[in-house]
Amino acid sequence: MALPGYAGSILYVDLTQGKIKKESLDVELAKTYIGGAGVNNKLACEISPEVNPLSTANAIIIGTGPFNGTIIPGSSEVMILYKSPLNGAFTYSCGGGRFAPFLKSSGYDHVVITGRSDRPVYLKIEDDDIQLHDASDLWGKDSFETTDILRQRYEPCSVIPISQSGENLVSISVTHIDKGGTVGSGGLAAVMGSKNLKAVVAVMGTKGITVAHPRRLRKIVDEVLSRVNSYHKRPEMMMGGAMTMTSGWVPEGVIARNSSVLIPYPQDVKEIQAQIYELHKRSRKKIACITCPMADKDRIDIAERGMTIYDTAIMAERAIMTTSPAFGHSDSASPLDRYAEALSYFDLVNRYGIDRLYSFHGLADFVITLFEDGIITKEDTGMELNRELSTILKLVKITALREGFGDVLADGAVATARRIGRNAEKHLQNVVKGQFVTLDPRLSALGPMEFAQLTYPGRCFGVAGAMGAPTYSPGWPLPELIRQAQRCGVPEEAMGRIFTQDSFNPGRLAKHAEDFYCLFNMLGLCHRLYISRFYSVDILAELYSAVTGIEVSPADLKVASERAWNLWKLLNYRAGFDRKDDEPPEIWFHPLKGVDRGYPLMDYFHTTALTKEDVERLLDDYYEERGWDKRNGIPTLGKLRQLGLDSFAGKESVGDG
Amino acid sequence: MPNIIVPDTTRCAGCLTCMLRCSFRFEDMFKLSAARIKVKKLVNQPNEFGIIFTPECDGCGICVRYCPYEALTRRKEKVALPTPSLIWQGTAGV
Repeated sequence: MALPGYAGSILYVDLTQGKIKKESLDVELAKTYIGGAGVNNKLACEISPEVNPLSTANAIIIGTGPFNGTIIPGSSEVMILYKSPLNGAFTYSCGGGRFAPFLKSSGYDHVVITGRSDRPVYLKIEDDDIQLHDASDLWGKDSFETTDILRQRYEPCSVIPISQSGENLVSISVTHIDKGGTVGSGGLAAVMGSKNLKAVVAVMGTKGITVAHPRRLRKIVDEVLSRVNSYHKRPEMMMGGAMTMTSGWVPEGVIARNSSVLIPYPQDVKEIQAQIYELHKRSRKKIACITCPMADKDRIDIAERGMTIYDTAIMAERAIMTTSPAFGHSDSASPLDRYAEALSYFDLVNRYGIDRLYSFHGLADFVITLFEDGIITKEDTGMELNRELSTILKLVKITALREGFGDVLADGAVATARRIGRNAEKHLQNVVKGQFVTLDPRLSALGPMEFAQLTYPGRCFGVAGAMGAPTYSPGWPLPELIRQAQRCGVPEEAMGRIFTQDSFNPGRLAKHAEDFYCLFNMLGLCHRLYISRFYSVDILAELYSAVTGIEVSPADLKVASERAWNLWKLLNYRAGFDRKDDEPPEIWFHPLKGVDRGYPLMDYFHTTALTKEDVERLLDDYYEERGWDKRNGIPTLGKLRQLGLDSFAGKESVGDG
Repeated sequence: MPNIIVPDTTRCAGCLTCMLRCSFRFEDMFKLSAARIKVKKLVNQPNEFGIIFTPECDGCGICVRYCPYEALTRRKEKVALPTPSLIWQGTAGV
């Protein structure tokens, strides 16, 4: 009998042998580690840390949580863990759509895929009917074409496909679940490609998910929904989607020239933005992940161009990027032209499965800067590199197909710089763990979200956004941050360490923001701002108790989350990651050059400029708040014992203390 | 007077809340396949989703109540009409 909230089984798929095995999900395992991120970590301990990410021994571990498949708003997220070909880390990807609940409707909480098929296949999961089907007719098709074909075969179903980039083992590949939920920054698609796995299809199965206390669950969900319905931004979001969140905001410019220069938008950018937002609302069909009341996924139909595109979330500043000389420059006067150009870029990059946010954008800027500075020439690239849209589109295509210079770009920033040689590596800026910093703290300020880009294990990702709007945009009044910290379960004893009379410590706060965020990944909830804002650690504990019948306190959940985070960190420590990989990029300590002023690294309230020593101290504070060894930035044996993880410590020394 | 549920597929965002609520009401568990309302993704159609009802639908309206996108309405009919179930609304099918 499965634990309430769980489907009850793990599916093991060995692609080399073509063998499928179903095992019961151990109840104690599920209770201790909890859900997608929690149990995935435990399963990943079976993968050797030395394994080549593109070898048969690497595993793709798909995990769902106890909230997936229920009516809990935003319970759409599936967690996928694998060893990344981009940087060798054990990295996480979460994505929405319908995959997690559909997988559970066939009776599986997790899927572990290993080996390599000798021919292209796709994995179809439908109740006990698990098939590896020939995918030779799909090989070479992009991710959206593949999804459409598989939908026509199996709908109602959910599809995780790969495109040409995955087939060509491109390390900066990514994919989309159901044409909407991005998943796999870190090269999941390449790992699938290395296994000759074109897609995983979860067909809606016939199993049900029971919950321990249905009436109690209904009551809590109804309370959450009543707050969703009265959210002041919701009516506008129903039209504008994610763009609503950024529709009134234009950054001071686009960071370019290898993270050195802030290139301003044209003077009439506000007007252009307003026109694009109106076009966006008029052209948009909203798409929701399962149970999501916010529907932030975009389908855009531009009838005038015969164009239909899908995207995970088109933001205003991305759509107007083609107006900037920094990236994808356009001289088009008409907002429709500019918007259509931006969409053509999103569409191409999505279809080819290239990770635009964390890799491609920075990488394109990097090599264009090298070209402008004469470090590389047309002889190296085979083409003129400039900042026009046509060049950017060409770079996307040749990267996905590994054609010519694209082969140099395909393995990400660090590998590109190494292959170019000529000291290019020394020119590479603003990279953490092989990915580009997306939230440059010189432009915003060093809040917990900007800081958390350093400490996220395995990638460069600012997780602290689950802690609400004040972490997204530095400068909010302190009482608001305190209120958010309380919502996210920062214990009373820690408040005094984090907050002073008129300031706070973003390093210490980041630890608790990570723990809160991690709960979403364990339970199967979306952590985007406009969903996570409706939850507190108290509500999560109530929901968990109602679903599983295991009565937990908010503090119990926080401990479980800490356990998951520590085990994940340990996996990455074994793969060679420690404090050296969390260090801030040097460029942070050189002011960004604006037109009429510099932008130095400032604290959250924009009152004090920060030095490298200041950020190092924040790292010390972060590790101390985690109870980790400051010197190496890794869990101590004492901390692992406290969390019941000491058996994973292995023979190697795990921190001091 | 019988109730019927009328879908407006131009408003549907495909969140499947209706299916989950329906199965929760009648099965006391979340069982998508047992829902009496079915939402399906379409391919290359003007609308993104299609909606049908199974013959077991009794027009209780739980799906209407919880649809976040106002894509369903409940109407009382003077004469018994079958709940629309034979075609995917808004399309000829996938």
